[in-house]
Amino acid sequence: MGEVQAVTAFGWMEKLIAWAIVLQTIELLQIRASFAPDGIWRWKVVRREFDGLPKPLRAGLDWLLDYRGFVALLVARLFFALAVFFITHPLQWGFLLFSTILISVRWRGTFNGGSDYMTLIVLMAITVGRIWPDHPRVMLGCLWYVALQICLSFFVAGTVKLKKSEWREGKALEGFLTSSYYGVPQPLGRLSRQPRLMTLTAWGIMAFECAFPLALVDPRICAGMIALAAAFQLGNVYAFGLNRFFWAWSAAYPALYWCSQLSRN
Amino acid sequence: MSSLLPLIACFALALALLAWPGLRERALPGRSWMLLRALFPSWRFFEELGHVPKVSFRILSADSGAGPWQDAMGQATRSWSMLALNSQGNLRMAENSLIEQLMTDLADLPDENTDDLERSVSYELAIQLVRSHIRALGAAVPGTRFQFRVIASVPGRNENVGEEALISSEHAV
Repeated sequence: MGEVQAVTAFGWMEKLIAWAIVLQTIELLQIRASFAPDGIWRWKVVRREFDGLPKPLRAGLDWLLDYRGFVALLVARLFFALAVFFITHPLQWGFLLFSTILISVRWRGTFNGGSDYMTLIVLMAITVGRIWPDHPRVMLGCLWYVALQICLSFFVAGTVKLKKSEWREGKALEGFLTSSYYGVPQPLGRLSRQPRLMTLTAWGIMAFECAFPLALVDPRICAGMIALAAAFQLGNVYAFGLNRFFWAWSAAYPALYWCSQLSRN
Repeated sequence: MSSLLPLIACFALALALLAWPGLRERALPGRSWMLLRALFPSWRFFEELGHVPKVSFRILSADSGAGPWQDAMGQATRSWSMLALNSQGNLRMAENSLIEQLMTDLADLPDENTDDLERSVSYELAIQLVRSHIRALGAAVPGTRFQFRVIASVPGRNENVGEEALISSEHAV
């Protein structure tokens, strides 16, 4: 892979997160019955959690987050995300950031946990970078912020696993696989009953996650780590249905690769 | 290499903080902060095996009394398209998060007072969740009532074996 300029990396980050947001929004529209007035997350119940807010703010949330307002918000989000492939503007990114925060509020924290975190991180970086496009250092800072966060996401995940004996002994991996909502994947069923293989795999995962920050040392190492990370997350899609993680993390990889080039320079 | 020294120091600091015995994951005070937790990533993925909350329900009728406990949520289905779109799978994860929030709310109550729990947002949403699954399973008979229960099951073992964390009051189907 040749040298990637900061502007190019930033552009790829924008397009990839826009794609992730398109998919996320289509999914939410597909399950809109769940937040309809007669659905599970009906607004007239969820809104009680905001009773402590000032009246104007509650009125604003009522307008944006009841069924009609929320569907309209999602449709607008889909439109602005698709528009990224043709035109990009700070207000557009500000709206995508704001709508992502509102979605998290609507779902009482996050809808999908980690993928919502990464989506917000990338959106915050892009929005800041687009507000000050004539300041190259701002863009560099945004790229570094995303790169550090993606390194932390793997490093912290690996380090906390190392502290747990059930992970060191391989029992945690078997337990997570057997508790998946989809049941144990058939090809992995037999493998999950082999304790030594589970232990080896668990150590492989922990080693990969803890070593992930080495991606910043060299672009070739970075490319290898990105390939491993993508394969790992595809495995998570298959085992646990965590598709959103794959797309949200993909949006952060251009920033990581660009930062890894600095060691060569 | 010298330009990487600050980075190495940063990750060494992160490692030291994670290893520090006195630094425990603290719950943010109050529900309001939880609503903004997407802004404060913890990156602790699949950290602990723990117990998995399993939800079941039983139908109560005047004629036949209490029926058997039935699994409320069942197993999700894999498909090739779920890499791109997995709305039902992600909805299922959100439902599970709702039950986990319910268990957290229960644990936070003094003396685990279920009367206070039944006034909570999490409990009301959980009723809707179970009701929607009862209707989807075709088990909703007019005039009957239901109860749901949450078992903290151990991964890899029988889903119905575990500590009974909550049995609800009776509610209309």
